[in-house]
Amino acid sequence: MSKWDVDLALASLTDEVDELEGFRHAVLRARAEGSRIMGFLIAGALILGGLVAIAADNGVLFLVALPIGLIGGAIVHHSYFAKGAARYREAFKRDFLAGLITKIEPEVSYSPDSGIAEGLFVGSGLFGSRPDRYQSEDLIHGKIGATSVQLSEVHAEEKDTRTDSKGQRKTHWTTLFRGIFFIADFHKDFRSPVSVMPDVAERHFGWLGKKLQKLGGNLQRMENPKFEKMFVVRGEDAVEARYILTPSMQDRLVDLRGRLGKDLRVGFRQSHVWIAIPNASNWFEADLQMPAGDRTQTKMLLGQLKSCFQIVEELDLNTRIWTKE
Amino acid sequence: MHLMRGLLTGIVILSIMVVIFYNGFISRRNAMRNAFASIDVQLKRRWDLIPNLVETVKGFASHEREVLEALVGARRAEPGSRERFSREGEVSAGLGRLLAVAEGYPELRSSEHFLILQRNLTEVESQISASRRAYNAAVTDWNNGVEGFPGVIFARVFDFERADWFEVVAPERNNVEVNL
Repeated sequence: MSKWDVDLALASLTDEVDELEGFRHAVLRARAEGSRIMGFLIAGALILGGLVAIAADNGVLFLVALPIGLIGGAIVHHSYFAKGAARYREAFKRDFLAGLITKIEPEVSYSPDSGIAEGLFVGSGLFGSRPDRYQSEDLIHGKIGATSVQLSEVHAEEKDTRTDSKGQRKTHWTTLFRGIFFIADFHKDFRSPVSVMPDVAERHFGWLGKKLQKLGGNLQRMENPKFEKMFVVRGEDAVEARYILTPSMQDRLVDLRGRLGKDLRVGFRQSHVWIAIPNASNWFEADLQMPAGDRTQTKMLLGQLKSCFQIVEELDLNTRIWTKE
Repeated sequence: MHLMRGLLTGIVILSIMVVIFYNGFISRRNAMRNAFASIDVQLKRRWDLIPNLVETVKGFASHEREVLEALVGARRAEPGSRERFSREGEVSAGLGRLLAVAEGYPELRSSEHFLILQRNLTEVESQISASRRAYNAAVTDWNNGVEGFPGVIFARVFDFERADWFEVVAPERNNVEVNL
């Protein structure tokens, strides 16, 4: 049976699922209690406001009930709803997801509160500018076969401050990257960095775009026409770029792009491969409304993990026939 | 006066174009030479591995005389000589046969020394392949300049000719035959 089988995964985590289900029901009960309290609070505030308004013979005083109801509602929402759901998600990650990951890959660990360091993200050279706001969580790290890997969710943003005609400063946050950032030990040693970026210029401007690519410097043209149409390769050393991007590696990257999307960025530096996979949705999260051992949810989580782990196989990183151990 | 000014402008523009095209050709030619030199460096590395490899295999499979002698014979050409380049195909084919022969000797395959040599050889072969591809990319770039318009005009003026791609020689293309 495959290690990605949902039933097998659930069967190996029955104790964790039972415990989490108990916790989830407690959170849901607390929510129901919170709803009742909120109902009493709002009704009480309205009655109070009505009584004050009648006593003072002033209808406007009825509006006093509004802020009281809102403040009370916010407090109850935080303590009974948001806090409870967050605690359940934390417990789910710690007990279920961490267990699931170790069952699939025994040498891989999961640290939900950690992420890939900002320095590594910037050092990858895959993004031109340094982010002004950086968040990273769900760090998965360890060894898949002979290959050391680390990956996490990353949200990097840039600040854009502009002053309008009236002299007012307005700040906008634009997303530089949101998705999965993946770093793995590459199976060959090399010295100079090579980047494989989406070929935006050729995609939009065709022949002219191809000519414009040269302006960026260190352009390396590969032999695979399909690969060339999708990516633009830059690297200082023509031989080393081809040592990394063998014809087989070019095919593998074409397939990887087919699976992970056209905005995939890949970098090769410091003997590692760095991959930025854009993804707008929040991965590795549990839904409070679903049972902890729900098949659909487990299948979705397994799919997300497989999508990341199989990169090692897809890029053939476990083949160690060159001088690098 | 206007004619003179027009003529002068034309000469200046033409001179700038000549300089740009000439420098472009020189940088393409240097890229081509650099790529060719890197093939030579990698071939030299492979050349240096052969005596060690032959000695190691000899220790386990001394009766595979024919394969070993063919490889040693192919390597006998003077380093840096034209003959050496022409015999690289024989060296590649000989190495392929040698590794195929090694498959029949489990003790040899598990020898640490042989495994290190095999890894080094794989590394060098990958580097040779990358160097050849880099050379061919540089040749394509050069030939595009020499044959395209208006490069073709400048190429004729400066006597630049199209270059040949690095093609796999016949012995390397043949399948390795092993008699076990």
